[in-house]
Amino acid sequence: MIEFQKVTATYKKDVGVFDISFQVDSGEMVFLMGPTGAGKSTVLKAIYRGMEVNKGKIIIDGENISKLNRHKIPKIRQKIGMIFQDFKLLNNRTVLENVALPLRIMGLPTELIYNKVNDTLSKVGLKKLYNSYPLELSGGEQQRVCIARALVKNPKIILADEPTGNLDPNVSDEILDLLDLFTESGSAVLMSTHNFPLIKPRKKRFIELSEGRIVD
Amino acid sequence: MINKFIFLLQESLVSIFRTKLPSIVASLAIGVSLLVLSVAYCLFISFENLTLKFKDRYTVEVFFLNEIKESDAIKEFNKVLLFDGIEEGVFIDKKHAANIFKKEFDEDILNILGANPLPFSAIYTISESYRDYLSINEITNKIELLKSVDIAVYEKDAIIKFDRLIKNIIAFIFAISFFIVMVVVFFVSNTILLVIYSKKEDIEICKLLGASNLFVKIPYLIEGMIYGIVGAIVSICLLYLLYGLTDYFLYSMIEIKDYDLVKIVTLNFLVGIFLGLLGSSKALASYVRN
Repeated sequence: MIEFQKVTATYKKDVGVFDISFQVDSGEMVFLMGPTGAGKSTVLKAIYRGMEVNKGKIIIDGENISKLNRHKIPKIRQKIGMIFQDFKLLNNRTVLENVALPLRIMGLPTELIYNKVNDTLSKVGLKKLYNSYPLELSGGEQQRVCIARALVKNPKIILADEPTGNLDPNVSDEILDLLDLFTESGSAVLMSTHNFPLIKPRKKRFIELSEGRIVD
Repeated sequence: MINKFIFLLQESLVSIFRTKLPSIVASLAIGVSLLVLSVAYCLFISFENLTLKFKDRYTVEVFFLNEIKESDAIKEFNKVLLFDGIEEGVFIDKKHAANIFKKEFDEDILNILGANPLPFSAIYTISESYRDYLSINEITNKIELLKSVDIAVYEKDAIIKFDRLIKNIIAFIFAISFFIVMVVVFFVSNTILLVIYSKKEDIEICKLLGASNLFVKIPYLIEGMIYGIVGAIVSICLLYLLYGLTDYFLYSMIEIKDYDLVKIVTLNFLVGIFLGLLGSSKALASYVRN
């Protein structure tokens, strides 16, 4: 589902990721491990084309996206569900409006949007809070909204950039359970974290990064 | 596509509602500028009507040689009637000329001189599209080339001065209009730019979720158009009041026909929308540039 073939993507000459190759299959959850500045977020950014790829190929669902035209990037992003450490929610919109946003962008009919949003909010346990604003919610609840927003479009790929970074250990575990649940429907999940104790008990494959390179 | 458009329209309306004060100020700025442009346009129309009335008096007077026969003079008169730029003409025979003399000087020329020395002459009216100094001059020169014509005259100085005055007034109206348009576009674009910057994070989030540049831009373009429409409504209301006032105080000095009123209302909406769109496009361009 996600394939990196000798990918180099840099911000400056020596900052970024270098010559990286790995693969994440459908229904698999893989962790990107490493300290701050190791290149975890850069890998995710390269996938959603938040930065240019200097060398190599990134293949997403069979399509090489490393040299994609700028105007095609939104289409790729619509296929990917993204979860962020700082949630990136619209604070002046309700939970329902936030979760509906990706479907609005895709231009789906309103009735279908509400059905999908209600369904997804039930799955993440936020149905009762649909009319609340993000700032009225706890950190864990906000992250659930973020997850719901990523999942509402049934993406084949879910990218999670330190989704538990701002949460306490119990809530972090709940978030991971939730993400794990969605791999069962065939989605590939790639999650970056520097919290090894959190992922250790889950016995999932992880890729360790250091200074922009994969550690063998 | 329709779902997307309805959503984006809703977004624009919500955005205007959330940023009430800048939206009101931007709409008023467009409204006031449209009012000034409309007044300038009305003055232009009135001025044009006035000049048309004055230009009706643009004529060329032709005096034929004294020694030619009346039949030859009439032949030459008819020849000139066929020239480009000649609308119509009046032939003045000797008797008619003597009557004019009597009317103007209250004396009978036959009594003074014992004979009528006045030549055959003609007065030609100039067609509307030839009523400017250069065209009249050209027509006059062409008439003077005819063998039986002694002299052809027109009010050269008055026409030159009037033409220059018209050009200056039109240039002034255009310069003022251009200046107003520039100021308003700058004002609207800065207002929208402020709104865009206040939503910078929201825009980034939408782009991360797969929104195209067009999807992000459309609400601001619609916002600009709405400012323009509201501005046009403000301008038309103020114009209506102003028209009532001028009609009361100045009676028929400002003559606007029904056709022009429809034109003014339509132009207000079109120019308003154009100004709003231009302002928001400029704001988006500078946002993208920065």
